Amino acid sequence: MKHKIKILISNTFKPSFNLALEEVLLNHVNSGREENILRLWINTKSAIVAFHEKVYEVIDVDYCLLNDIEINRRITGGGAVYHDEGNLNWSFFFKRCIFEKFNLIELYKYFSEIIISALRKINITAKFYEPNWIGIDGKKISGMAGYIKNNSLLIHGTLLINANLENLKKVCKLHWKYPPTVNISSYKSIEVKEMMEKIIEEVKEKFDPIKINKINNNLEGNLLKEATELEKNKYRTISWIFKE
Amino acid sequence: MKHTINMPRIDPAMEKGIIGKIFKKEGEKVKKDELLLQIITEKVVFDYHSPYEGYVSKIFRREGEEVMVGEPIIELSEEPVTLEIKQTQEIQKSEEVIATPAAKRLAREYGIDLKNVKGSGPGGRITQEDILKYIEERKKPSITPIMKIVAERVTKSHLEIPPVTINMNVEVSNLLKYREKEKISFDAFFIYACAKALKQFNLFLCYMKGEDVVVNNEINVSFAFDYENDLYLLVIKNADKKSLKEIEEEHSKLIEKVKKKSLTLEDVQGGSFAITNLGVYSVRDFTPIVFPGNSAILGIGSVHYEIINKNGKFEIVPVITLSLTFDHRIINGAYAAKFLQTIKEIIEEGKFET
Repeated sequence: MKHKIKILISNTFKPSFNLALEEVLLNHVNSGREENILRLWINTKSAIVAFHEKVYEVIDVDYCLLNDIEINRRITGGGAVYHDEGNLNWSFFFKRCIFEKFNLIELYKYFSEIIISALRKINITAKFYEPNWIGIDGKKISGMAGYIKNNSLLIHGTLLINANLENLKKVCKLHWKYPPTVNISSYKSIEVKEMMEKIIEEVKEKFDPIKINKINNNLEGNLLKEATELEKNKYRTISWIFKE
Repeated sequence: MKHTINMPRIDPAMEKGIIGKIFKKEGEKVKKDELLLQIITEKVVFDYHSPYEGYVSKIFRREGEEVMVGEPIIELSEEPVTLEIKQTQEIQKSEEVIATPAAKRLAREYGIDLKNVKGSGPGGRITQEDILKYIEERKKPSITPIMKIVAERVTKSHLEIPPVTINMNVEVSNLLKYREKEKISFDAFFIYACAKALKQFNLFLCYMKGEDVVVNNEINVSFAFDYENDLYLLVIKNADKKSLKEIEEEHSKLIEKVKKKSLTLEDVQGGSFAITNLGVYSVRDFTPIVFPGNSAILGIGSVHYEIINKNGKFEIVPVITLSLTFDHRIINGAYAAKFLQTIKEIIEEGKFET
């Protein structure tokens, strides 16, 4: 039996709202108010640190401020990432019981396979690298992070399509510690929108899609309201972003 | 019966985790499956729910601490625990501190509670060296995230910008008179005056970014505010379109937000000119540092008295010294002086209604 899945595609590029919506969706799946979800979303230029990171240790704050790169914090672990409109974010929110027998690496592998299969549709051979990234010939195109709750889990990742890698290197202070990054567009000319379609195609084949929502405005009223509230009270505050 | 909850292994490769949050306090009741801990690893954040029902009888570690897999974090007891028992236990524990006589003497001298010192001797015995080390550590100020960021930014600005600072005295008789009527902060008067002057001197709204000149289109005046050793630059947006009263209201609202730790990005972003006020600390003049993304900053000194020649008559008047630091790559001395003169005229004229 295929698992039911809802597909959401955000039309908002605002980092603080998008991050707030991640948290709200995870909570909704956790409480059973929502089915499993795939969400595809894009942020404007931004530097997103992990839940536990110190901003000044991992991000060049000055560079961000002078170049209109918004700094924010997500609820998941992992390391700081750079987003812009050439990067596609993908998030899977699933009921935890489906993956009872999976360990964390297997979870990352499971969801990365979906992205890898979608890439295969455009003749790109990518591979999962332990613990949590996808690469082409050892070069990183996607990094993943997760949050595991009692009844739900969130695995999300980036996907570099034609992002500004110069910015990425300048924003993420520790990029030299990790494998070199590369854009998918250096292998094949492709736009973010096309890549989105390929992932949706793949998810439709693998799961039982129950609904495809193209825009945030179609979000059920309370989801939008909750995310907007959370954005205002948490994701736009200095104390959350800089963890005072 | 008691159960100890240890740092769980969330994935096979995990060696340690950080305690993000402990959701229960000592003595509190915990239901089975109730949210107890939030654990953070390099790869994932994990909500840990209690496998047992019971009462929190002991908390071994603190939030933010890094704990090895298998090390205890919390102890749950099946019977309710009363906090009185806990307290006596703590007193007993404090008596158990072992230290060398020399260490004890030194600790008494410096008023140090031995409980706070980690012993390096056999069996955790506190030595004289441990006390000396503790004293050294205590001297270091704790660096907050905000301090780190400010430090990084002012250093960068200091290395990049060729600064010039000029000073000018401004008579504040009219300003003080106005303040007798209405309690308005000095900051607000100067934000008001700067915003008006910036309309004519828009070079101050530009700043250098590498080789390029970037233009800020809005007159957003920020003011530096120091709270618990953290420095904030709080922004009054479109200050040129606001009345003195409106500026004052926003000013106090922003300060309130700092104290309540509820600042948002909107409150600190987009400043195109800055002021900093050390007048309350009786500083007469100083050389402020331009913040990145700006090309100048106006320092405001304390009110003091000077003798001036007014139409042949000597008078003693209250004055404030302004210290304007600017980026000499964009702004020249004469231009900056004219800008200061304009601020001076606005303040001295004392017509703050418009």
